Amino acid sequence: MFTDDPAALADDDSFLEQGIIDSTGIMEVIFFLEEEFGIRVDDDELIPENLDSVNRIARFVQRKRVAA
Amino acid sequence: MSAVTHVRLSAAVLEMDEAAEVARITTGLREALRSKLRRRGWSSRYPGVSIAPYAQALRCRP
Amino acid sequence: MQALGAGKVFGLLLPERDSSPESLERGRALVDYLGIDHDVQDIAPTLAALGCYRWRDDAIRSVFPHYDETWRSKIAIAGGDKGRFNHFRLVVEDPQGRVAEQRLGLQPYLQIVAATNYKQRIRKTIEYFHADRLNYAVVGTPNRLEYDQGFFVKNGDGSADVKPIAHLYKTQVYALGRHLGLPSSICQAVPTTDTYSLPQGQDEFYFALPYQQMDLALWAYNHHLTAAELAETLDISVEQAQWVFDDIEAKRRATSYLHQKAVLLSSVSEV
Repeated sequence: MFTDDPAALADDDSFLEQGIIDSTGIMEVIFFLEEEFGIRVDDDELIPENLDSVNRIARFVQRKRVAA
Repeated sequence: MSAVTHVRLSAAVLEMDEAAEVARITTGLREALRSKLRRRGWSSRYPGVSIAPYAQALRCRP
Repeated sequence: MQALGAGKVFGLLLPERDSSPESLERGRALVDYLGIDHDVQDIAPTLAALGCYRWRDDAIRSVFPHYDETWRSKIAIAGGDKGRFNHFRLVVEDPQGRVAEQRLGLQPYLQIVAATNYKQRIRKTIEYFHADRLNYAVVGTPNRLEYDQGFFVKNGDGSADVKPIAHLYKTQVYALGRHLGLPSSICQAVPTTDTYSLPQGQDEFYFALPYQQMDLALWAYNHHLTAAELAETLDISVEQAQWVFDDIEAKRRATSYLHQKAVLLSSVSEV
């Protein structure tokens, strides 16, 4: 995201609407989540509800880890 | 209703006078090469592109 | 050709290992029809020497370890037409015709695309060799859909001195082809990427819909029609139509850098 300013992106801001994430960007996010948290993101989980903001990702990862 | 909108939209995309479009591309392509000619010295081989004015100017130089 | 005269146009046919034979046939049909001078150069040895196939196959093997050069492969896009994030899937077929498919991780995806981009970039290198040799300009032929949605390789097929049909929807390009009386094999050709060994439509690789519908969607989006109007036209749900609109916008954003010149850190106003 090329900034050190935490205020530049609020935790509920949409990555898509802010133009922060594209198809390669989402692959980077998935790669990071799978490596960092030891989860496996399924194809049908690649939806904005799961991944389109910091808070959504946090909730998604939490759900995945509880389920694991 | 659906069919009507479809026809309207399809017709709009296709709304094109082919002969006029070919003429437009032909002119545009020549113009593009002509405008580049000034910078890159592409030769007078393209129709409508002539080095005659330049040759004339050179001949007039003392 | 009509603009410049047949004697002033040079055609290049540049097949490689994964090119469909029909592409070469259609290329020959076109240069014969136009009566222009041309050259055919198989670029497979060049690509092999650069490691294009090896880099690609190594990346594929990191996903499917048994893959070798007797298999065929392609990349398909998924998600954007269903309101999900776009992502890429690797599809392979072994010599027995068994097909397997898996979502691509970041590294193998980047490497496969980087390796296959060699194809477009080598072709462009050869085009500029001949342009320099003949003192000609290079003509690029993206249509509006490809140009707008960034469906090209930067410094590959995206590079040219002039792009005379970039303002025309693909439907219009086909209409012009028919108007000019081009060979029917060309006028009826289905657009493919012709880059991967498995058959791959452009819509499968990149666009959310087949081009006829994609043209309508792009036109509708450009003319501020509503998703409901597009849905009615294409006989899809309003939700799907909105996804297509969103996807158009997402692709524009993702590929805008492909159109950019190199960024300078301070202006050089003299040039």
